Amino acid sequence: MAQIDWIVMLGTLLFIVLYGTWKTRGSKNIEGYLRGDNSAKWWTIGLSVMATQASAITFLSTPGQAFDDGMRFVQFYFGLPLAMVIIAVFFIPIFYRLKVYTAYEYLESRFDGKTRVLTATLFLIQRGLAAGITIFAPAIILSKILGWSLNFTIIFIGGLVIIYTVSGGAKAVAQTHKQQMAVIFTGLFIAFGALVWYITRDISFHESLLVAGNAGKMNVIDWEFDLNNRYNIWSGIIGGLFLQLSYFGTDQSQVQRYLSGTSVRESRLGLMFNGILKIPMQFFILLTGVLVFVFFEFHQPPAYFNQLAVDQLKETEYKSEIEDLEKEHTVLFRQKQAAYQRWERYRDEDMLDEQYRVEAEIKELQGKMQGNKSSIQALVDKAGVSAEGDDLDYVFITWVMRYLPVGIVGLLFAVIFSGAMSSTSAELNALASTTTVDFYKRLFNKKATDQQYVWWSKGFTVLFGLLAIGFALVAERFENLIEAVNILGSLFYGTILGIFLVAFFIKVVRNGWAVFISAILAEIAVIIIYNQNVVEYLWLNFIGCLLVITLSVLLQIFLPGAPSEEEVG
Amino acid sequence: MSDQSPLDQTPTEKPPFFKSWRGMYALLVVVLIAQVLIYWAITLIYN
Repeated sequence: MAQIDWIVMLGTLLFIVLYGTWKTRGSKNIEGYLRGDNSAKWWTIGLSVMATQASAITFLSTPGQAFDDGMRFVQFYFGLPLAMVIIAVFFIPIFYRLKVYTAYEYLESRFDGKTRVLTATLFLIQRGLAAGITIFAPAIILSKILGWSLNFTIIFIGGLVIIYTVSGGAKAVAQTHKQQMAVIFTGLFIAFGALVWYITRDISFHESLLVAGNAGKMNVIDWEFDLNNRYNIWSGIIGGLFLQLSYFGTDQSQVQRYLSGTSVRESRLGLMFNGILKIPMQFFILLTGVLVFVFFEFHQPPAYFNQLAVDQLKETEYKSEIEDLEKEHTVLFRQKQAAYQRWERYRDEDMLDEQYRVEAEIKELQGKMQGNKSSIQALVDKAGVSAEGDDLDYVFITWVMRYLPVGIVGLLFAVIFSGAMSSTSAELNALASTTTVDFYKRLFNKKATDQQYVWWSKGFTVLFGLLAIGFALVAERFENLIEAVNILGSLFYGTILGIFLVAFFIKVVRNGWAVFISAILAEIAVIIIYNQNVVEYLWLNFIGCLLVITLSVLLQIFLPGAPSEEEVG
Repeated sequence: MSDQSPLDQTPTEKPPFFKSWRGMYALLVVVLIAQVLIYWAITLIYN
């Protein structure tokens, strides 16, 4: 990376950290530290909610996923706007009326203390692990590209986040989210514009989408209902609705963002903002990945994107094999180039039969190149060289490094680091809030002063920051990083959502034990179903949630009814 | 709890551009449906 790129990247990151720390210094009471003094307007909430969900994985893995698998991943987000409406109508007014710091406080007033503590515990386990992955996932790729050690990269990301999150709490998180989203949007727009500019020197934009479509990348909508198909419109709307409802409605890292609003109105509008912008944003990121695919149909890509793994392979007994595969890759690419030239000519001359024949030929060559890449992957695995992360995670960053101008490369790295920091800061802030409010204050010390709670919150932020760094330092290899986080979420989210839906909507369930036992049984069932690989993971949210609701109602019938002290909602 | 529908709660805090929150929520659903139709058209044209 050029010197100017280092200046842009480090300058951007340091500015965000220092400005965020300075601007939000001196939160002395728990209200300010955990809820940002309820001073956030809707656009701050909207950006903060988006920044919390958009991790570095979004910018590394998502384009790579589209490069390989096409656009269909966008369907995963179709349940999100519906979830925003449900949360705005039912969840937000109750959270505001009870003036809660965490979502789990509500469960105590509706059921009992043990249900609150169980749900908060499930959140701490799930989010605590996810925080480690949020740092680990980008660090493993960034360390390879930047030539840093993995440990240093993890500590660099985690350390920066801890500084401003500890200093300013929820206010610092919201403040830095605004700048991080500005960097993210700017970087992505520039990258997308540059891609379109490069591609349209060879073919028109319309033709580039035809090229992508011929390779099966424009598979945005799939109407076929199939429980074993990970992404179709039904899994997106139904499974996605339950996942997003659980994430935005019950995950403290999101609840805390909209509870910092000045009023119900601002919080609702913040979620509406997210509901309108999120799907186009994901579509746009996936389209970037598809356009990178099209770009590499006309410019020779590396045979394997993780160049460090290839370099290491060349120092092993497999040197000649990898070199042969690279030569084969070049020959196949040239054949494909020739085929594309004929394709363009036939298109210009409206020779449809010939055009379709060449399209089939191109598909065959794409298949052979994929086979070539699989052979390299097999060699990488056999040789046991350092090739952490999926090769697809290196696709977008390789394109950025090779084809974007000096200065912009640094900005794109700032985008990826910003993504990592934005989601991690929200996670640490939420983990600390939950531990302080739902455990320390609830179970150990109800009479501490405001100042003492702030200090405990700061201490828990540091603790969870260090735990996340520690987990990242020992994390194992994941096949695909973004899916690993989503799968992890789906194991717990269904149960947590089930508890909240019973609390909000099933008034007949009053016995805390009914919900508590149901939640434990549902969680065991979800883990068994996941281990047996019965359905795709998105459906686990739905199943977990349904189990909690059904079992709670059944147990309520058999257990003696014990009305809660204060029925809420 | 008030008898009012949750869709119309907090009447003093109206959303911008709409008389009630129902309009805002309907907008979100309409935008979602429009996107699905656009993406479906893209799938039909290019895939």
